[in-house]
Amino acid sequence: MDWLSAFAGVFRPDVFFYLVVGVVSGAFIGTMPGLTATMAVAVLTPISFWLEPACGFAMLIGVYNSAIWSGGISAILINTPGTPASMASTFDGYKLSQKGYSGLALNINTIWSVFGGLVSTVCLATFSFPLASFALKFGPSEFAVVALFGLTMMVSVSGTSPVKGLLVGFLGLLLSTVGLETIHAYKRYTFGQAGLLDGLNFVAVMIGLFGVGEILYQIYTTERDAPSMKAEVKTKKQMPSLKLLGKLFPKNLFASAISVIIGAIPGAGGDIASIICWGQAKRTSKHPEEYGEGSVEGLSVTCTANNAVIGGAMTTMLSLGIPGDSVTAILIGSLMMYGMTPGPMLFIENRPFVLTLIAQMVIANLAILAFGLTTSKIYPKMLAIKKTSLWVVVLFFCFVGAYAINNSYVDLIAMAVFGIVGFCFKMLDLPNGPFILGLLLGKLLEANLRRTLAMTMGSYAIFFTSPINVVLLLITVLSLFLPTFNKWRKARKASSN
Amino acid sequence: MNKAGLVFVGISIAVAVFFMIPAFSMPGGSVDGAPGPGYFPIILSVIVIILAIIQGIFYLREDKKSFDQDETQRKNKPMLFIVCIATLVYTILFMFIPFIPLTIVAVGFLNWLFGKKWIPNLIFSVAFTMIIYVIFSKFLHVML
Repeated sequence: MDWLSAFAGVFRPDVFFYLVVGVVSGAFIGTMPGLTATMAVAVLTPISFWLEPACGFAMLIGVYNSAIWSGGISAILINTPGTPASMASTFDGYKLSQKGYSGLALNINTIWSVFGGLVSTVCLATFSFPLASFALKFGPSEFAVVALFGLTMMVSVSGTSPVKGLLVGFLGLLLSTVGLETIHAYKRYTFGQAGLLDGLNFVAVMIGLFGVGEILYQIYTTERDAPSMKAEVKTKKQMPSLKLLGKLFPKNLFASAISVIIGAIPGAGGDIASIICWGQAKRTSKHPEEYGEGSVEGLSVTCTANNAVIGGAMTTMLSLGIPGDSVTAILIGSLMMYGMTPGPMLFIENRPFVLTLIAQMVIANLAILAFGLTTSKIYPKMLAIKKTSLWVVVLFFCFVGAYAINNSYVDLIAMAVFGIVGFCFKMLDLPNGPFILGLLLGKLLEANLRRTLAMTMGSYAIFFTSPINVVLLLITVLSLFLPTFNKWRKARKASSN
Repeated sequence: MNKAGLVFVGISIAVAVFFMIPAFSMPGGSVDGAPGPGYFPIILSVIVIILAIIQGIFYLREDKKSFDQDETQRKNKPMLFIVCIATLVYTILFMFIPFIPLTIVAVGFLNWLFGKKWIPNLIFSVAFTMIIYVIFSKFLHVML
């Protein structure tokens, strides 16, 4: 009955309208190279605050799923991934396009992205509830370690040097101390500004880093005189046959399973999942030589992987309060703005809302299927839009969006400053993810750390005696040092050879 | 030596010190062992300083002068600078000038900078500003 009313809630006219708005906006933003899913969600988040939670989240869930799916469109048509997650879709997608199968490739992208999205939503519905029940056993010390674990996992999988990632992550943690502290409500670093009492607005910072920062980077690195991107979709209907879909099913089911697990790891997103799944599918394929030359199987697993990470990321986000990627980090911020705190208590206090979210994921994927299979001809026109016009549009949406969060100039200034910071991060090859996670998890980490110390009369021993803490701390340490150790071992092996 | 990286390291240390100094004058912990409000910022500042020094050593050993600029980036540098300034000026003027005239001028300026012809620029600037205004002010009730 719970589920039935959750699904019925999605078909309420206003909720369904915003879900479709999200899917269409996500399709547009995801298709345009350089405009990422994170940017799409960040820019639309302030709008969502003015809607009731079900409508606001319908829009954000629609944008999230749709932007990840549509990132594959430009990968297929012009060999440029629309979002980083669809990088692996260029391997076979573009080759298929060159061979005249662009219609088939776009339909494969749509069908298997939706398949990945739906499988991952089933996983979300299946695993998030038991995980949340397990997390109910967590006390302050466990939550402090989970926050630290989330941060270090993001550092270790972000691909850059662990020291850089840690430095940026701890800077984010440091900035999270701005505002009223959680135990005694003592004002820290507010400089008499009422707008800073709640700390730096997380969404404004995200809009700056991922919206303005990205646009500034594109202004700096893009050749504006270059001819606009040209692509064409063969008008001949190229719908994959049921036989072909059946043949691809086992590999894609396996890719979904892998991607859900990858998505659940903080920091590991669709880009990592799709490359891993593509490599794995190639290794087990009867025709590995076709991979990279226009393999339908190769394209399908990358498309599945992209969208399958969403369910994994949402599972960790909803049940533990730890974001699986940058988009779920913004979604946490949005939930908090609505007065809901992601984590195990969300499943008790706001169970109907969690069910609605999961139902929205299902319906968003079905909307993508219908939208994607009927609109393949419009994408070349979208790709021909001048980048400079898009920059201006996104830039001003960022400004107004940041201001709209609280009608606050402080948020606007924070957004502008962090836009420039985001640009500098990109230039210095510093990862945004750990910074955002630090800013987001700082209060959780501090509050739980201090509560633990109050309970233990200042003793840290509990962090090394509770089994959950010990396991999480071990994984945290291993995740930080294993990549460095492996690099050192490889370098040593290479030098000895 | 990576100069730009070293500047970032310097800024990180400055931020850490900026957070650490006031933290020392914050109230102390309670008798039950719960640390005071300055505890967390002090620990974090110390960690940031340590990590910044380690990263600084890496940057010193790096065989890279600064940002590696290609021809396009060198050409785009003045434009980037102007856009950054325009961004900050728009942010400041947002507090003093009504939204519609300010945004029309700002959008028009950026389009002009990006080489848009003046008639399409004018139409785009006015239409886009009005669309944003209607969405946010009339539809979402944001006080613009």
